[in-house]
Amino acid sequence: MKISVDWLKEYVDLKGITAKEIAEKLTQITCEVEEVITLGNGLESVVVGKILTCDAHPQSDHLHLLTVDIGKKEPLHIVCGAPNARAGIVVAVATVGTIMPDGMEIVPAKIRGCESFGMCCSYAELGYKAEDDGIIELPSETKIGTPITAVLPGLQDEIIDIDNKSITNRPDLWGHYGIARELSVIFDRPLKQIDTSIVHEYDNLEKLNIKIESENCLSYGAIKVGNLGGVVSPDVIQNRLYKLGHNSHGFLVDITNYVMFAFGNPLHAFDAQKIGKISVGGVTEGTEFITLKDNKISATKDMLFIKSDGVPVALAGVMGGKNSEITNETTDTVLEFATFDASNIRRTSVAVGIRSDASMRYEKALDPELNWLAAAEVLRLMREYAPQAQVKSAFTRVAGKLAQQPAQEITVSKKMLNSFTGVDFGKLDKMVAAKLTALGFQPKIDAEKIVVIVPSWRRWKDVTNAADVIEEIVRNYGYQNIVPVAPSVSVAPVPYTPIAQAKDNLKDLLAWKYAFNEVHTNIWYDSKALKQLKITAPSYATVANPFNKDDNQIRSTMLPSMLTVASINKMQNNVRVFEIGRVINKDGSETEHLAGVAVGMDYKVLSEMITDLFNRLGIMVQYQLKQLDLNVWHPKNHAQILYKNQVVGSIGIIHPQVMSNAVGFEVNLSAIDFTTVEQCVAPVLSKFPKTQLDFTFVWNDVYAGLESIWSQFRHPLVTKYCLTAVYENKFTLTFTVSSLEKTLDKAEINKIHQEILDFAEQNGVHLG
Amino acid sequence: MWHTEICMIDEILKELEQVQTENDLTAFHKNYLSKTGKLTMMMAGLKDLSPEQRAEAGKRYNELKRAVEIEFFKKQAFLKEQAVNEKLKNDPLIDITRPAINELQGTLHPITHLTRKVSEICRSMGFLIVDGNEVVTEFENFDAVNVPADHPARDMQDTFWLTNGKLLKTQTSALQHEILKKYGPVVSAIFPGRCYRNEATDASHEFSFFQCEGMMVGKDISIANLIYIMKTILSGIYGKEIEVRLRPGYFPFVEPGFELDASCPFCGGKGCSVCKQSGWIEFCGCGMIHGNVLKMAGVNPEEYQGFAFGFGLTRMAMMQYAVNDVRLFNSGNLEFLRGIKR
Repeated sequence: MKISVDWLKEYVDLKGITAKEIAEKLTQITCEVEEVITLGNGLESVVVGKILTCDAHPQSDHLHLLTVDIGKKEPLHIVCGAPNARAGIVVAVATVGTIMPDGMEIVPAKIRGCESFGMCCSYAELGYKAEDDGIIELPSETKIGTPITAVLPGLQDEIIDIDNKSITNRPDLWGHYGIARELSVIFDRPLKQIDTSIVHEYDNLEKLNIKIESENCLSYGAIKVGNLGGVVSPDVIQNRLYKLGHNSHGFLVDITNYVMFAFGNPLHAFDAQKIGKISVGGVTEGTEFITLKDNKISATKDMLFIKSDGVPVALAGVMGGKNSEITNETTDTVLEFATFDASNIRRTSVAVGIRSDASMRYEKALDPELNWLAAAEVLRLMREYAPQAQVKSAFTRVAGKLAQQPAQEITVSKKMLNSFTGVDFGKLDKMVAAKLTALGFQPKIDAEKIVVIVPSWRRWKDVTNAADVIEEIVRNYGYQNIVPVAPSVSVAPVPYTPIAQAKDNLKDLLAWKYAFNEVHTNIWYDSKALKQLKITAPSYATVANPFNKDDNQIRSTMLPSMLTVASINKMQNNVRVFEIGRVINKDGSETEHLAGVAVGMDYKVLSEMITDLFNRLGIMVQYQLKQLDLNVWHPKNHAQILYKNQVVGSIGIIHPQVMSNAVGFEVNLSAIDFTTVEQCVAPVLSKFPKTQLDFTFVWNDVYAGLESIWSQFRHPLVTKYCLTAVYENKFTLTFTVSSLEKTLDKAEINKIHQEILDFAEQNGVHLG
Repeated sequence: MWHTEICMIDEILKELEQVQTENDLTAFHKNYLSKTGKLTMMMAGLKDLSPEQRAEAGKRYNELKRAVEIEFFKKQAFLKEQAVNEKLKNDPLIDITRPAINELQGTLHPITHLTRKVSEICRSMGFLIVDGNEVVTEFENFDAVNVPADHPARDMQDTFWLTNGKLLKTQTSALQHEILKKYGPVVSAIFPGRCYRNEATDASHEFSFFQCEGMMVGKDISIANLIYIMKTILSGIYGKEIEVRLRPGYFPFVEPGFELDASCPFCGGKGCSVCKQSGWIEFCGCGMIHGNVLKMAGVNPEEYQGFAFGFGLTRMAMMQYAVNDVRLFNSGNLEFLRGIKR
């Protein structure tokens, strides 16, 4: 939102304070200033001049040769193309050396053979207002030689651009008056009080018929005025609107904008001929309504309308209707000064897709009392700049139930204030009282507490509890004055959660031992990549409003994401990627998975790696051959990963149609219990010699079957066994035999040898 | 005879001295010191002597044999060293400046590096590190953190909604409620995590990004504490003294709310391209947790109070690694990711 410093000065004395200081203080205490824009810089060298002579340019059919008196000894020769240039008028002359707002520098020039030493300026060229139908004609009595900046106050100004997001919670700051109030508090300068008595001067005129039918209308005021057709706005209004980025559209429209920018209350103007009895409420669902910008709207039951004799004539707070808009034929106008429920306006604005200056303000929860200030300002402007205007009705205002509620009182205990802020406000009563008073909170302070009455402009969705009042106190005290204090909390070690630790370990091993690269991918499938890779993957959750319409499937497996990443890195060597991410399962649950794909890695190396990763965390995993549905796998060479006999993942060679020479894995980490890992105990070393016994068994199935048999084998003197050789269907297991107490003799070893053989025979395992 | 043999010792030693190669040494060993060697065989001659002579000669014999053996071992060691040195002379000079070819290089994601850094510092200050879901309910993401029903953030254009009514969390604040309920009312926790926003992507916008939320709730946790903690965390992260300043800011879940600026860690506040010459970077939003948020999580705001903060890990990573296109983080581009080693 743009704020003019020149305009602010109408409400608060800012003498001696620069725009930069204003911006800094606002940023520290109130809201975020994005930029300060200086207008009219360097225009002091534009001076008032009088055209002495005006002759036609010999080489041109539209240029004039002027001599212009600017109060110097010799008049200036100027070539000018303006149609209204003529002898006798008083104009604004940019002298040589002036840099115009558009960056052009005035230099002595030869224009079609004639010398020119300056430029007669239009309002637009000076950046004063948009109107541009020739050069400026000043009143004839204007003193020649005066800098134009002294003649056109407002030409030099500074615009403070406030970040709208930073005032979403401050309905009072959506106009110049609200910002002026903040500055009056910040700089301790008096704020101009707005006299609204003018609105009552018409109380004896006929009242308008207004009825509020919905709680979504907090207040509705209106006044009928006539004879405003064709009235042009005075320069000061045009200039102020222009500086905020608005062109002039005639006095009537201009004052509605002007008053909105002054006080924040949006206004609307109806053609009075088309307005009968006014009511504010809903209409039958499906009723068609056409806005003055030709948007066709089908009413919903929530939408609030202004109705004339029951017919909707405006979508409340959003936009007026085609059927009641001001036209060239309009003689009388009904001006609306209303307040609507913020949430309702916001919902409607979103539903119909129209965001206007009005809806943007109403959705912040405006103060219904603004209606009075706005009406008074309109009447004052009319009296000053359009004396021919006629007021044809009393200012009629109806307040809904909500707007009639008494002001809220809030009590803040001093103990809470101190505890909440960490600042001792014990000796700061005077400062607190002064700031709260200036903000309009009428504070009463005693030894224990501060009691405030929330002013009308802060009560709507803004200041509603003690914390809000504390904010008012502290921000004006100055956040920079708060001394940092260490919290007084008990010191206790913070556990590193087992799953977090496990994830960190897995990541470290994968990256630093197995040379994998960690990647991040989105939680949805990349539809294009899946198509390219010919992957079909199940999804159990759908994004309702995806950014790309086909990327709406939430993943239930991360392998497609990993394959996608691997595929886009084809140009890289040794692609090994992994991610710990999330998936949504068939039952709707969300689980955390570890998945990876490696190109050029041996399948056996991968399975050893997975075993190693989890072994280090004290987790034993096993593999089980099982045909899986997911079509990323090699038709034969893939398996399930088991943990405590539960399936927790899969591992395998990637189907060559998806990606050649690649392997992949995925483990559901949420299914693994990292909290109850067995304690790791150091091995007990025997002083006595060990014996290794080799057995070669014939086994016609996968090793896992043999393993599941031997994992059951228990013998006090067999400390471990492991697979040491494989040839076709022959598996050599080596058993380590030792005793802690003595050297085993031949007979004892033979006995163990036989026991191992017996166990094998019992389980149908035969020597090869 | 025995005597003559003994006299030969000098000659044996002389012969050993002449040995130049390992082969000759082996032959020498075989010739004299092996089981059938001449020196060993001499022992046999001792038995012909009288017991007195035998004792005398035995002692003498052993001394001499020992002398030969010592010389032999010396020679052996010398030849071995000579051989190694000879071999070393012929070893090629290895080009240490040449990089290994096709070496595998694993890396962690830059977000992981930063998350670890932040977590480590926060844990040392007593904060729990909590993880949470990416799919959350509308209640958790919005209602529970006091985002009113008509807040713009709930609009379709900002949030990825699922057809089942849930949504991809738009802010890590979505975990505040759960954490307060689970660990509260007295709790210090940070919760780094992935968030999603439905907005057009460009060099500074991405659907998914990482934030880190934190909060501290207790009996008398204050704004002064908030400033202290943020200053300490930031100084810890950047390994140097960081100044912080608060400005008013608005977030529905805090009251009062602040924007927190940190003195630019990259230029020390002098002004650089990262801080746009201002000396300050907008670091995070924070504030005192709104009473409604506490209430909804079953914490009595009359009794407990605290602060919350949230900053962008992804944004932090952009600054830390001088990345000018946020989309690279989720691109899976290994050329990019492999370049970030710590």
